[in-house]
Amino acid sequence: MQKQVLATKSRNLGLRGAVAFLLGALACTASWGQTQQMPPKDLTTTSIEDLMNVEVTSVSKKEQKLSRTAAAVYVITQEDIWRSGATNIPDLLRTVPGLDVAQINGSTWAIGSRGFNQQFANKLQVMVDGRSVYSPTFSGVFWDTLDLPLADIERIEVIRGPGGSIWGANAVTGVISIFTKKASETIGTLVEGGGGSFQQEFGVVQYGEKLGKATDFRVYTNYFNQNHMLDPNGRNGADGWHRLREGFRTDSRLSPKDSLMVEGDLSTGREGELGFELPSVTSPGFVAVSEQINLADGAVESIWDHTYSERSESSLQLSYDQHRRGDPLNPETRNTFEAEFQHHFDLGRREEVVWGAGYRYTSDEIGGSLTVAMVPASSALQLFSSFVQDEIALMPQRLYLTVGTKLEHNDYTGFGVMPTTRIAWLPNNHQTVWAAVSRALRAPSRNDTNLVLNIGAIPGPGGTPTLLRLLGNPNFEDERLIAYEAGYRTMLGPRLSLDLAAYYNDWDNLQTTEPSSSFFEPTPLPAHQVQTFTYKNLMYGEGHGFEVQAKWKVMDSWSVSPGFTYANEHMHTRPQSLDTLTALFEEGGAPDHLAQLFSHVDLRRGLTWDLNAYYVDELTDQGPTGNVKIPSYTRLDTVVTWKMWERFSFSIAGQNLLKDHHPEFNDLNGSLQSGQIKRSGYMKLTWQF
Amino acid sequence: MRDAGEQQRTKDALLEAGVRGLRIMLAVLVVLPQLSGAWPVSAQASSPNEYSVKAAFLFHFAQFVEWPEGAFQNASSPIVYCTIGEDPFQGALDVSLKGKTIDARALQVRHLKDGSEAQGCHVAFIGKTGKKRVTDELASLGTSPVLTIGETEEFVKDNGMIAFCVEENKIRFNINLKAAEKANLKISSRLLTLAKTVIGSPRR
Repeated sequence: MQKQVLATKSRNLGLRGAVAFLLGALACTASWGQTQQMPPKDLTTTSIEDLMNVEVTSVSKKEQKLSRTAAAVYVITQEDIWRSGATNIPDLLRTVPGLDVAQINGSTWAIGSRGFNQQFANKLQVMVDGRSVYSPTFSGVFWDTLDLPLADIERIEVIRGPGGSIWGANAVTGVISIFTKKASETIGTLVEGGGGSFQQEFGVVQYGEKLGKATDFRVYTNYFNQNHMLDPNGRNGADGWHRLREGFRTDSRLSPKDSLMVEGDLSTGREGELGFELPSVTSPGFVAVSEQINLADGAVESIWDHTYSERSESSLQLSYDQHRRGDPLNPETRNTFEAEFQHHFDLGRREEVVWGAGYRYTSDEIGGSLTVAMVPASSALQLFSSFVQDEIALMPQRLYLTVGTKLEHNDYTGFGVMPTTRIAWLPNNHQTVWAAVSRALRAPSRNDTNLVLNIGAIPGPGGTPTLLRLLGNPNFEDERLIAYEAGYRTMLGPRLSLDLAAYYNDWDNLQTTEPSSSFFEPTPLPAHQVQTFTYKNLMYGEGHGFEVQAKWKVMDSWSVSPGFTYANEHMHTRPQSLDTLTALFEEGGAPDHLAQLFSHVDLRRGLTWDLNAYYVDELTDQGPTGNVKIPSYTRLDTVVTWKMWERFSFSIAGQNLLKDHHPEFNDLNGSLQSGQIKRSGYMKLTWQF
Repeated sequence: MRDAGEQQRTKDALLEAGVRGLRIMLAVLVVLPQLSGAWPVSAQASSPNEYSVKAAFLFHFAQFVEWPEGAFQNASSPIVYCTIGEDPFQGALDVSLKGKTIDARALQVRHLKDGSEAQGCHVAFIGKTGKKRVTDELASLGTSPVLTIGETEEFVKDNGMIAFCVEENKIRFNINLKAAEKANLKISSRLLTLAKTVIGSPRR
């Protein structure tokens, strides 16, 4: 049928002919729901004998419990992924209400939740298949290393707020859990390729198969090459990058009660940036230097799940990963080994208990330069953690109380206790009201404790320059949060759902930068005076805000989801603090208002059209001296996907359509020059067979 | 003037994107046929959800069961399916049974909070609501002619009639024939042969 249309219609010339061809071809293709899934089949027409051979995917206990989760949860599904038009995980996270995503340069993002955001944002826990991926170097995430193929992501669960007692010390303002698909869900071959003006070329080749009766596997290669952004003056930046990743996943059923997942990946890449460098001890400040950074990452992970009975199951997870970042100013190599055990069981008929224990060993070697170094240059750190959580059905189906606590021990601050209490009330099947009080800690990182950063020199008495130097503080303490949260979820009929969450955050012991000792240093020449500054825990403050999102199915073929976020912080320094900049910087570093509007249209015959708009409020008091303002902006992305036939689809997307270019960030603490995002477009083909 | 420049830049960018995209697509199209010959071809189909399959099973079960006289008001009364307690189907049961008939009887679905409202049900699905509640629900149904279907391990031992279990991602079921007979339900031997285990051998 396709060919016929092509033959008859392609004789017409010009634009009208092309349009006619497009419409004609549309009329002949089947409609579809999701890229990765076949339309639901009427299984009642299948014989019972055949039904017994159908493999099913189970709705996990966790998913069933989503409605009674007493936390601000948002789930990005596979459908959301392709509808967003995003080509990387940070852009995908823009779709989550309450998350603040700002692109700094081509390969660097600042991603925060509920008020704090900077390049080295350090209060989020991010996991891939249960493995923590935040870096102990700065307690933040190297987003450029999360280049897993989006087609393999099963879902991303985002929890705003401290998340609960299960997740670790970094889960302060949010938890992002990325789950990849089981190997059994990716049997066959997938080829995806495309390119455009910013995402210049990208592609995935993946192959999955069954190995005998009990094991499935997949292997994939993922590649992309991304163009540069613009520098602050509108000239071409130096931040283009490319990355190649190869990976596999196997899922085996060892016995009816045991399953084993093993996955691994290796990736290499090279990214450009304008890094800030201090050329000499007399230089008044940083100069931007074009740098090329080579990246190499590898990880391997296994999860063994064992079911004791329907009411009791456990999982043991082991992982190892290596991260190499050839940053010329501070090259880093890090090896991390992690082991985690979790046991989940029903206690009596009203209680569900989860407890677990974990251990992480991480060692690094971080090279230095005049600009930046870590002292000591290498370190090995251990983290012991344990948690217990009990969900009690005070009234089954209606009222649930969850109490839990996490107990951790790290090498910097020793033991830390993070308790939480949560309550969920389901007055009927369509509504959930919840509230929670939790304590969370952000443990110190290498950066907080061991940093040596030379910022610039000022002329001193007698012609001796004074070099300003920021030092980590080995006695840096935990940053502390007590979070009060409440939320409401409802289904207002079959077509409209609403999710509302509000919070009040009581912060204490937050980081400030304080002047400390002064001394004479003969080398490097010329001899100079050094004025040091160091991190202290002298700031406290309050944050409050809310996130609201609605999903409205206006018609069977059209749905819209508006979202709005308000986040406001007030920071104060203790009387002994001399830091006047950090409080303003933190207050101004995250937008007070965020708004989103998504429109999904299923046109006929396999054609879908998505329009995603994001509004981000201005940032104030940014930049090296706190005098930079990032104006508010509206980002508009659109993607049209056409499933030409069953296993073949084509999409065309435009990103940042409203303006030629705009900046999203300019960080006071940043290590590199922020760029500006350009309007861009790309095309993509997906073929499964 | 600035706008014109901006427009030109946009045009250039789009043109560049277009050319690049076409080039890549061509490359993909050229390379693919070669690959597809070398690799075994199999379907990239994602498995259906557990509960949409279970819903289809529920449809079939009713075809293999004979209710006693009096269970239906008349020959055209509908077969009423009830979910009791937490409904794990999330609409899949309603969708599967919509518009279907068995022996000229229409199929109805009701979602009930507990078994006390189960009057008029012919098929009752009792989900994983916790052990005590399942036995409570079963007890409350007594020997009324209701085909009881569950998915907990102890379901058939607790006098439930059919219990689902999942083995290696495939759905299996156990039958307690004694319980069915007590409720005057006849289960066809074809269904019995498909069951993993049957409690109580068929009477001659």
